[in-house]
Amino acid sequence: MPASPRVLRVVLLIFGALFLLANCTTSGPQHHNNPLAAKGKALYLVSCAACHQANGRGLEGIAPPLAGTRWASESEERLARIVLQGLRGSITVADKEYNLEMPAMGFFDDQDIAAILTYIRAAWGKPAESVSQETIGKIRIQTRERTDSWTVEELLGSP
Amino acid sequence: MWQTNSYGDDVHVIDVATQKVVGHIKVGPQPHGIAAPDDAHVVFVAIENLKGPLGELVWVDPITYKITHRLTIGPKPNQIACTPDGRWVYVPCNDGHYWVIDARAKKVVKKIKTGGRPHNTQCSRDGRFMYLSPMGPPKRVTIVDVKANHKVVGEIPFANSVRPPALAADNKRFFQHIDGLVGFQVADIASRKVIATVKHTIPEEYKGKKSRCHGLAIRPDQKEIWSCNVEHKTLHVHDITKEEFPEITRIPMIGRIYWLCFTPDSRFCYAAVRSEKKVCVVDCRTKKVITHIEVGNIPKRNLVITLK
Repeated sequence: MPASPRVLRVVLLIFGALFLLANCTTSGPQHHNNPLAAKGKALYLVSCAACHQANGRGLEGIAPPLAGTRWASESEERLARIVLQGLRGSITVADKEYNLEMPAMGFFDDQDIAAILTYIRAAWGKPAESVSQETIGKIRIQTRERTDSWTVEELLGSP
Repeated sequence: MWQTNSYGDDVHVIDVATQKVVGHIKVGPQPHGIAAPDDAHVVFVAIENLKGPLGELVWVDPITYKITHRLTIGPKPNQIACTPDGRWVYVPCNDGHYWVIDARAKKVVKKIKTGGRPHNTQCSRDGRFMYLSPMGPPKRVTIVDVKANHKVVGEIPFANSVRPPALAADNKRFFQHIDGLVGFQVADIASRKVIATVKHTIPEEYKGKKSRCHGLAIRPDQKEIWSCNVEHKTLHVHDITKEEFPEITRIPMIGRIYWLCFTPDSRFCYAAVRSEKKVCVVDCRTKKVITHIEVGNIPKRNLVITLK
């Protein structure tokens, strides 16, 4: 017996929902249409993934996760500071404490840092928003006198 | 004394007789690890190259300061060690492996998987054993017999992720910084067991402030071990002739210190003050700071070599 139009509609809705759910739970499809994020992914895999891992889940005793954390989804300016000057001291993420030093990556230019942060946020934070080169440039100028890496306390006190 | 500048592209060379900079060598982006054989006919420097996919090992002539060879190696190499004859160089790379380099043939001969983030390396004085200290989940030191075709012959488990190590010249005791301890653990190499956990005395002004240790070295006369307490900006000195390893003194530093080395006569200690872009020179007898020497961007690993 052929399925009624109502049953077909339900089946299509279920498949549609499953498709959307699948896209929301993986990092890939969200940045396919964003060239900046695609560039950022390539840079992330070379310079960040060894510690934070390609899946953004971090590595015990080495680097905290980015995926699903406030660090990826909240302030882009805070993220820019971390990349530009590095991070040191104790940080607790997902109920685990890390106490290592993230090196400063200020040797990347503004566009590259914008790309990396756009990818991180697209994959694990705020998918709809790109981080602009201008934002990175602004933070670089604001922090140009800063020679030391940041602590969590300092960062949480900044926007 | 050779000082790598880990966020720069250069190495500073300091004359230990005058405490003055006498050389400045461009070696490549983010020079990290440094090692040299006993006769110092060459100095090896690991180029971390944080921006690129692969690192390098470079051969530097200590007389002319010329780079005589570059070898592309695994990603982001850190603190290397070489055998006293300079034949073998072990390079910890960010692919979970220590890369074994035949420095004579100038090629990679083996990769030893330790897992975690390979980071620090020590060679025994006789050149027979390499001790591999990878950061992260392994929480152990891997021991390799260099002369048995670089075969893994043992492991020493520690209480947490292992950080900078130090090795006694008689190859009996292994000292290890670990995460979560402001101090160090001591292992008996023969039994592969930790025999002591030694805590530093925290200076009053830093009580309640979290810290970590990064930089551990035994004075060449084998009487003391010196330890860098990073966030408390303090060098701690312990007596290693006694099994309790008691703390002898603490030396306040002007900033956060990340590494240290000694002159072979045990007269001077050089501590890399990364936050101040300086090297602090300490008189080992009086335990007094003599001077500070300006170096480059984020100085970390350093080494004293003796030209023959």
